[in-house]
Amino acid sequence: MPTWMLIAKGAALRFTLGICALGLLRLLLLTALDMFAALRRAGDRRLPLGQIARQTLSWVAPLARLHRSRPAYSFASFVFHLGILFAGFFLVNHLDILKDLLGISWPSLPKPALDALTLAAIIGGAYLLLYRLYAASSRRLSKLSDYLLLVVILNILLSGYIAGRPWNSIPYDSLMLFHTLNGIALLLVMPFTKIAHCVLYPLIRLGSEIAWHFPPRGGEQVIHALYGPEGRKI
Amino acid sequence: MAAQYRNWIKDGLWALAIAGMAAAVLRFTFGLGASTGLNDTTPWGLWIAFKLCFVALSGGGFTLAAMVYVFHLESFRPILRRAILLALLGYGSFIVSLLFDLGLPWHIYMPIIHWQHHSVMFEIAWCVMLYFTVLTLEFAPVILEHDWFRHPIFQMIYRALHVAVIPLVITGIVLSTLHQSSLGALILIMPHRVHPLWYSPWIPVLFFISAIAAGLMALVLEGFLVERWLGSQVKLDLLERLGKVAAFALALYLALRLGDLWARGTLPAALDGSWQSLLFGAEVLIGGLLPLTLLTSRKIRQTREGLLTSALLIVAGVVSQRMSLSLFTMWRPAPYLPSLAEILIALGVPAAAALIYLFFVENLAVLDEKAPLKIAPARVQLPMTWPFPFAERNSLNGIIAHRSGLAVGIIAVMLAVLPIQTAASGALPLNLVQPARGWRILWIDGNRAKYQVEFAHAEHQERLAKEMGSSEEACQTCHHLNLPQDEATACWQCHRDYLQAVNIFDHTRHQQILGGNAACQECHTVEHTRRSAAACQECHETMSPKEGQAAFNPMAPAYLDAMHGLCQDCHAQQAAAQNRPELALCKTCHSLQENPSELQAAIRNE
Repeated sequence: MPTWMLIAKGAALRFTLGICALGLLRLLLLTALDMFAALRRAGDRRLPLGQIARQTLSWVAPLARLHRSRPAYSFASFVFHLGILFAGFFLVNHLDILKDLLGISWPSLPKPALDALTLAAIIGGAYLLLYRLYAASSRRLSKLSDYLLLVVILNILLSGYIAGRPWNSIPYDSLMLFHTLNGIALLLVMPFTKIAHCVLYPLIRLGSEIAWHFPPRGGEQVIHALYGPEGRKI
Repeated sequence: MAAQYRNWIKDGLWALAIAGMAAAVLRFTFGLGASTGLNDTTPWGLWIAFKLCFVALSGGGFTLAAMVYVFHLESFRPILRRAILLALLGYGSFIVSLLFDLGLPWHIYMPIIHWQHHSVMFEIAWCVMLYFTVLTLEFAPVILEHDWFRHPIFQMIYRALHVAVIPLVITGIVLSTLHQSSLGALILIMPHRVHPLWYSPWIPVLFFISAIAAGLMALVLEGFLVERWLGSQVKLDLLERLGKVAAFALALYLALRLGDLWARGTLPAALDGSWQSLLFGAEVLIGGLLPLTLLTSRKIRQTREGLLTSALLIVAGVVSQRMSLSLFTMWRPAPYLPSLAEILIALGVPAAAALIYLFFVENLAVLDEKAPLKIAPARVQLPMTWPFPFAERNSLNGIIAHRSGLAVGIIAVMLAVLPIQTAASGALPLNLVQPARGWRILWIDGNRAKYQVEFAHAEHQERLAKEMGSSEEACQTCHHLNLPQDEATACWQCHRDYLQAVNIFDHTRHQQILGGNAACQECHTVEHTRRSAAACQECHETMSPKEGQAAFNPMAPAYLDAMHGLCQDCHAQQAAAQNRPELALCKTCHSLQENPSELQAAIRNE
């Protein structure tokens, strides 16, 4: 069995998925706990909860918002996410590994469709990377890890996409090893980096929405709400 | 102790307990065979050894209860609760460990219904159940004193328990006396497995007396540890008197043990220079006579160092005796090596018990009958609380964040190191097949276990050729798949493992020969998976020589299955067709096993 397949089916993958799945679950629970603690301390019963829920849901699937501001960037980001999610969760080879490991499976999508989505994601991701590099506003906000994570994801998408192409001259097994190692690295850092937004996103949106809907003069109580009666400085 | 060190120790205990829980999931999911080194001939392993030690070190509970309530030695009352707690946790650990050892742990209640009054185990089961209940009732007042249990109902229970304490204590003493000694009685029913230096017809009594010494000295050790943990003052005068009582028990134990060995003439075995005799010597001299000498001197006994040293030595000596009996010197038909899961569970149970102990000591009035001991809150930043911005340093949320981070890390490591896939698939290490030898007579013995089949190869071929009218077709009846350029590939060349199906397709090699990435489409359709690959016969036209023969599946079945499958089908058909039922019997092929001497002769002639 080639090295990459040993990695993709062995102890390394079990460790990685353990860290990734349990770590993300832990973040989700802790963040929820944290929000409840903040809400309890705020003690405000005038929050428009229905409106907040609607807003949160509309941000989880932001199709209707794509054209509002920076449409090109929004569209690239949307396509990028779509490609990652579909290629990651519906490629038959990925599902085979999951079935071997956990015995669970779900229907896969046809390879040509996923190829097209992956290609779109690669183009979208490249645009995001260039935007980060060349737009002054974005560059100022970026940390090294923001570039690195984007590069790792692009590595995965690219190596996965070209591995089986007839025109590609890099050996299949080498490319798959690269693909596997990058994939494992990405899964491992997920709970420790901003990629945790893959599970925290709804809660992050919910938090922002709650913050937007605090009543007038609520800001005076913010420190108290976030940090408790001691009111330490942020 | 600095708060930081306390946190580190607790983290270590949590890590052990979580690792033990992960191993427990493996054990309960896949069973004893897949997760431990135990088997039918080696039923006693690490868990039993630990269990015997848990019970021995719980001996302080009944001893101190007897001293305070029966002999009215009221001065020992301040450490009574600690003794009860230690015994409660020791017996709790015993019961939890027992669940792992029982093949069908959900049948643990069976001794209540099915009374096997001839069985030592039956007596042990009842004593453990009852004594654990008694210990729980003895300790319950400590819990009921907490502010949460102010409700009148709890207060009523509290008063009832106070009234019932004397009968409870007496029941407890009787039960644990019975139980400590009946654990020793288990050894009586298997003298052939126990080393003579540890075996004794007096072993139930030895178990009971040594439990008194070990239990009291465990209390002394615990006193010193708790003192360091909480920074409180150790009651040295009390512990010193415990040492005195323990010295009497130890002297009696040593006298009985050595005297019995001497009287039965076994003692010279202690000088034969074997490793068992060295272990015995160390156990008796360093773990017995040395601390006895230390304890008999009042001057040494009254110093912290002297008392601590003798406590450590005595506990080590008694632990060594229990472990030697049940683990080190026990005779086994094959060497026993505990599996990783066994070790993790064995350590995880006492680690969890230690955490419960610390929780009780820090939150209940265990040490002092008036109020729980408040320790100053730790002012250390817990690591691994990321990304939990609002977690106060020692808030409950901060602790949850910290410990859950620890848990994720440990569980992930366990997922990697525990043999989960091996256990799940029942996969064994590779057992490469030994090729059959001969041609006219084919000697088939894939695992060289000498249970070979003497297969009349030429006779089968000639007969089939006559029936079919073609010798080529006759070969193809059994040789269903040929490697490229071959005409009758031997069975073992594809069925390479004796017990497991193995992958015999070399993907990398095919890929290279066919021209790398440009060649995927040569075999695969759109999807690049094994399922989408073309059958081998599409290129290797001569591989499957006969129409309708089993299509090539890259996972070649185990040799054992392949050989039986090949012969049995045909033999069953012929047995029916020719009305000769003997053709389908095992002994038709495995005839040599009918007569062992014939088999031996055959092997010699071979």
